[in-house]
Amino acid sequence: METTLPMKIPAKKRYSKLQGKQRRFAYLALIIPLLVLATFVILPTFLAGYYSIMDFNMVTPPKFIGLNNFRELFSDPIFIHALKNTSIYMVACVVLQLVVGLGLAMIVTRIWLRGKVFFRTVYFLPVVLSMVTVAIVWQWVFDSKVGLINLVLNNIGIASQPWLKSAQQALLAVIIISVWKFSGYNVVILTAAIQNIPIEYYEAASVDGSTGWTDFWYITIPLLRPTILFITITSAIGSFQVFDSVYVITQGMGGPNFSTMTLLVYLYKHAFDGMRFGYGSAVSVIMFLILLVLTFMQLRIGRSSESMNF
Amino acid sequence: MKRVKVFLFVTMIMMLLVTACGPKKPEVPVVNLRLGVDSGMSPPIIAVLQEAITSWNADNPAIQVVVEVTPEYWTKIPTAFSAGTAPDIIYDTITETTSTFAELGMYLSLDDYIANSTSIKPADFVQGIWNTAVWNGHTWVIPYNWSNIGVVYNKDMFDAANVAYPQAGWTWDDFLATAQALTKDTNDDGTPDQYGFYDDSWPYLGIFPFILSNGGQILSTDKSTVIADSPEGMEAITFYIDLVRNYHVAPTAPELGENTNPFATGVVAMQLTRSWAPATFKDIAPNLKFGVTSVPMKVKRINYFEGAGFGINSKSLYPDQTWQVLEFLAGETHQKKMADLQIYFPVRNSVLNQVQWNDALKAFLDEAQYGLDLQVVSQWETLTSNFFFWLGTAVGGVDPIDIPTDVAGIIEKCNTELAKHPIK
Repeated sequence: METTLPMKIPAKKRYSKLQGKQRRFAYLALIIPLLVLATFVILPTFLAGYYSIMDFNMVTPPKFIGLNNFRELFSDPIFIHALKNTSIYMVACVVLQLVVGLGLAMIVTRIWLRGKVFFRTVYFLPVVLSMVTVAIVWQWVFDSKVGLINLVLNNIGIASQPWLKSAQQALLAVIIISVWKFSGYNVVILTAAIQNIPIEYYEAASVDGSTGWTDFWYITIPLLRPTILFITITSAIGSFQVFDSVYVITQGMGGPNFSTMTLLVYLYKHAFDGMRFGYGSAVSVIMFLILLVLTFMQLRIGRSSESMNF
Repeated sequence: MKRVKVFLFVTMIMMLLVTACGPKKPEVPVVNLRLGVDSGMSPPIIAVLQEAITSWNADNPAIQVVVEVTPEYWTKIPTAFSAGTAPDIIYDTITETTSTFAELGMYLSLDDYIANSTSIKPADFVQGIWNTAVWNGHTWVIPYNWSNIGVVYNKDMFDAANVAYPQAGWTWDDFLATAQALTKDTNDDGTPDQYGFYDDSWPYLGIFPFILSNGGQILSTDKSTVIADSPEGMEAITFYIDLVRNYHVAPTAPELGENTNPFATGVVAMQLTRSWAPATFKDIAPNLKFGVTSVPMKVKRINYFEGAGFGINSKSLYPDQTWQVLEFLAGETHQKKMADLQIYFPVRNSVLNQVQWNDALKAFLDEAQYGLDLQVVSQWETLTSNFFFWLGTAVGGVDPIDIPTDVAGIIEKCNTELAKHPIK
């Protein structure tokens, strides 16, 4: 006759006094950052949603106006311009910063390269500089009369370009500044990720006759996918919120023909210069929704390409 | 000896007791006021203001004032007001912000104070600037100083080109011919190195004077609509932009680069500017020889007033004491000290006539008689900004524009804004 042993119900785990103290301390230590997050992130997010349906100038009490702010937003050609410019800027910066960052990281991780630390430091230096300082310096680099770039172009037989004075070139100039400043961050992240790829994969591949490009496409890139996904999400979120470089370069005017007017500059002009905080909140709600959708899409793409590999 | 010591000790104690118990001098309650100013104000003016307040504080122990020089003033002041932390005395640039601040309820109306004042009488003030402090039937600030506009010209460049100095009352045709004579390509590379004029993208110093001098108007008489697109207005706007795009007597944006002072740096021979600007030339070009003449006219000779003033914060706990400080700042003594700096004009007629103005300011002052009412509305800054954003591209001379379509779009935007703030 088969007998089954009665299922043993595990005794309630008892914590020692010390463990109990540690658990209480851990929860307590989490409360303060949580309070800060709630006060400066979560609450303002809900307040932005609230004020987006109000006519609010911070001086007189808010007045409910429904979706009027959003209707006005989408009928303002300058907002549409800002949305377009910000999208172009974001895509260009994400792609270029990734390509430049990955290219430099591949070189910096070569076994035969001497001075790896020096190169990593030099590439990371622009990241730690103040964006305001960088923007002011690059403004002079792009100067149409005495700028360094036009000087180089003139020396190779190309006429001076208007750069920041032209609606066709101003956004490109701002993108170049951003790529110069932030690629170094990607270099550091990608360098660490590349160095974590086991060398055995490359050795095994070389036995099968794999060359540099094949290694890159079939080993390096797939194994860097999580890092690349992280970089694209963070770069997209950061680029979408571009403000300081554009504001400094255009003195908050949005550039020739609003060619460098971005969503945050638009928001700032209306909220802080125009005292229309309800309208500005509506812009921030739109930005939040766009970023939410983008992040969700990127995560889905990332997860689906991971599942395809396995 | 011991008895003497005891006697002296007891006497000392008695004296202390008598002093402590005797009638005390009544304590004068001190009112502490804050006077906020923009850090972008001219440094000598800030200095003379601080000196004045120091002297006020010494003479008025019961009312002590602190001057707060504030960066990002224009952004901070309304938010400070909503937080209840704005200064008691609010500084503003009358034409651009008085009506906006008044509409937001930031100011106390000064009508009753003025009616009962023995020192502030509107008739004693320069009418052109006093009128800009009045909005919607009430006076909101006491003017502090003012400036007007004119054309400055570089005498050395005129002498080198053998061109006669412009005379006050000159016409658009005279102006264009002069600008063309002063636009020179000295090294024959196809691009001028010296231009006759500088097209400012700020409407005050750009299209507005030309619209007004052509007999046009910016706002309708009832201030409900922008009418800068009248035939006179469009002619003026086109003429102004053609200075860059057609006649090329003014530099394009790429030709100017990051040069923010083309007149003082000798790139342009003439510039339409404000009367306080010449005080800044010596910092860039100490040996610059220049003259001042009128705004070129087509139909009429025009000018207009801009200025700064001080108002009382409507949430101030001490409005009566604050009013006393305003009276002091608009008083003859302080106005004379401010005027002696030869940067801004004083608001009192009596002081205006006392000062020995330098040649440049004298020429600007001569033009003040042609001053027009700019018809201040609370959305004035928004209206001018709408033009400004477009004008930067238009006078930049690089990107294509369609003047009639673009101006129509700007005016529609302005009128939509005006409709939200009807004049009561």
